Amino acid sequence: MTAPRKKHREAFLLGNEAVVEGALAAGCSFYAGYPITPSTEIMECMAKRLPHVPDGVFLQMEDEIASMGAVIGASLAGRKAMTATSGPGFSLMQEQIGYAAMTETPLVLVNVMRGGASTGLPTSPGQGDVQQARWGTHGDHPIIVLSAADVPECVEMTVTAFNFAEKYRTPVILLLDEITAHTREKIDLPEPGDFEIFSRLTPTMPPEWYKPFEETMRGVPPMPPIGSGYRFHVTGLTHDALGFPTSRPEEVRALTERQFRKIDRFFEDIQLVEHVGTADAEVVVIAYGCVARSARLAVRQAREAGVRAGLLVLKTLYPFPRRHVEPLLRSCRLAVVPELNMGQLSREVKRVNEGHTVVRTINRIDGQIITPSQILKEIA
Amino acid sequence: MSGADSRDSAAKGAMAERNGNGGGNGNGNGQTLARYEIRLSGLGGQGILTMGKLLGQALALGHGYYVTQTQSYGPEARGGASRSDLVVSSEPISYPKTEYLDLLVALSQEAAASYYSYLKPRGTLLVDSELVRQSPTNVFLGLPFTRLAREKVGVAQATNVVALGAVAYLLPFARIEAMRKSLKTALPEKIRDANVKALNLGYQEAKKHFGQPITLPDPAGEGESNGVRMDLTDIMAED
Repeated sequence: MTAPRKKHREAFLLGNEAVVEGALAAGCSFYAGYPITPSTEIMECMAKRLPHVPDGVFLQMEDEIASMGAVIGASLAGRKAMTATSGPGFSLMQEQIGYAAMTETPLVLVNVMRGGASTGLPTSPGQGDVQQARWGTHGDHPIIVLSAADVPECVEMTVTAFNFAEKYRTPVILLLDEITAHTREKIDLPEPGDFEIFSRLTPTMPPEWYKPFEETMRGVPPMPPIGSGYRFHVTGLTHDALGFPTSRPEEVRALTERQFRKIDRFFEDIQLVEHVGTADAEVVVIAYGCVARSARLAVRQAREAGVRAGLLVLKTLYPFPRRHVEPLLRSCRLAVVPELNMGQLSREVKRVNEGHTVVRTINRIDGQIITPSQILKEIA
Repeated sequence: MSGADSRDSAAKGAMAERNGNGGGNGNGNGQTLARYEIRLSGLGGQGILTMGKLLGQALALGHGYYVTQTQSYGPEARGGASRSDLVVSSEPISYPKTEYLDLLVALSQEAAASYYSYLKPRGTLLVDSELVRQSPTNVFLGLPFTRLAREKVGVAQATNVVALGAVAYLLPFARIEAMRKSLKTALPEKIRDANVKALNLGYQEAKKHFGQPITLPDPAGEGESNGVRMDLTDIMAED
């Protein structure tokens, strides 16, 4: 994804601050949010930076529900828009995630996962929102869920989140955890040209020919900014090609199927993973977020101890990258899934396992990270 | 696959380097470092997290090391335990938290007592000698950072930076100029001078009272205890 490197300025940044660098590099010009630990630095940093971006708008809203509303509105008006939150705020945003999915509104939502349900552990890491990110809003809907494990990845995956949102006209959820968000590391500040940047397709036909939700080759209809002369009706009700409510079965089915197909057809583009020594592995660790960093060290130590261990880091969590996971389940005698919850992604691994191998989970829910030695014990 | 990340080889790599360099002071530019783990700890409100940021930024940008700086704090605005962990290495760092510490800085009695057990054999404990009344070990370095800040800088809030000055002196691979630069870029103008003063004070006091910077242990005397304590499968840091 990166073009040849030019000279870069270095900075020592938090994961949260790196998210902002990525968002601005991707062309984000609108942020609306409500602060909550451990995501607050994203908002603070946006408040500092957006006023210096051409036409940049930063809004502190009265709560997370209003924040999502503002972000959806800004996106419909043509902006690349985002918000960030954590557990309790993420729950408040669920209804409108569904609205964004139904109206095919591109946006990026960063959820920095903390520990526990409800108010839980505000300053401790967790990974308990994985299933909520996929299924938190009601009804069948496609969605893209990404994650990042370190500070440079926070830049990269935020750019990716915006690109996917724009390319596929869908809300994209970027799941971080308190550790990734609050770790400082050195990064090269992104320069124009470092990343390939996508923007939504806009209609080119005369306005009177335009049908907002018409079937297209890619399944992603072009999207004009509201107010540009194209008639564009938006509703959360099931709608026809013109965007008006319908309950005619063939139109309802066509809409839902197209919404799924526009994501399904591009799994190869969307499902991002990193393989570390999986080619000859007998034991594979499947991890994401901060736990992937513990796993990286554990796998290296296991190799030193003579165990043929490998690591699959999931950068895309949904749609679940089964094309990468399945072959490993067939070739390895053991798969270990460490995560900071009671077993949310391991459900998906078990779902696609179909008896190929043994799937062992490591679950930690005490607000602490899973250590390399905890993983090493299971694989060595 | 030489495992620069494993603590085992980390210790060895660092030691080999120290042998080559003969334990000189401060001139750490370009010194190879495998995995050096530092914990700064104290109470919320003492500026522990700022200290971690300043130190990490200096080591990452000024010295060119890979650094991860993580933090752990309670929901309280003041009081409550606060700590910042740094891992410093010449190679990319996988696990960002610390497991066993090379240097522990404790600015409260509670911190010294709770984290002392994570020190490696021959790791260094640096405390605020007036706030840590009972050191968990006889082998420690102490300076009255809070009193120095209050009396000689005139601002008790500069305690963390006085301690940072002492750390800059103690770390054989750190350079004080890079620390100063980090301070100047990270802090707002109006408190800059007081903080540079605090940094220099900490550095000078450390030089006066501690004699030598940290010398990383001699490989000959250390091998065995290392082997026992650093058995990889035995590590169960509860971080």
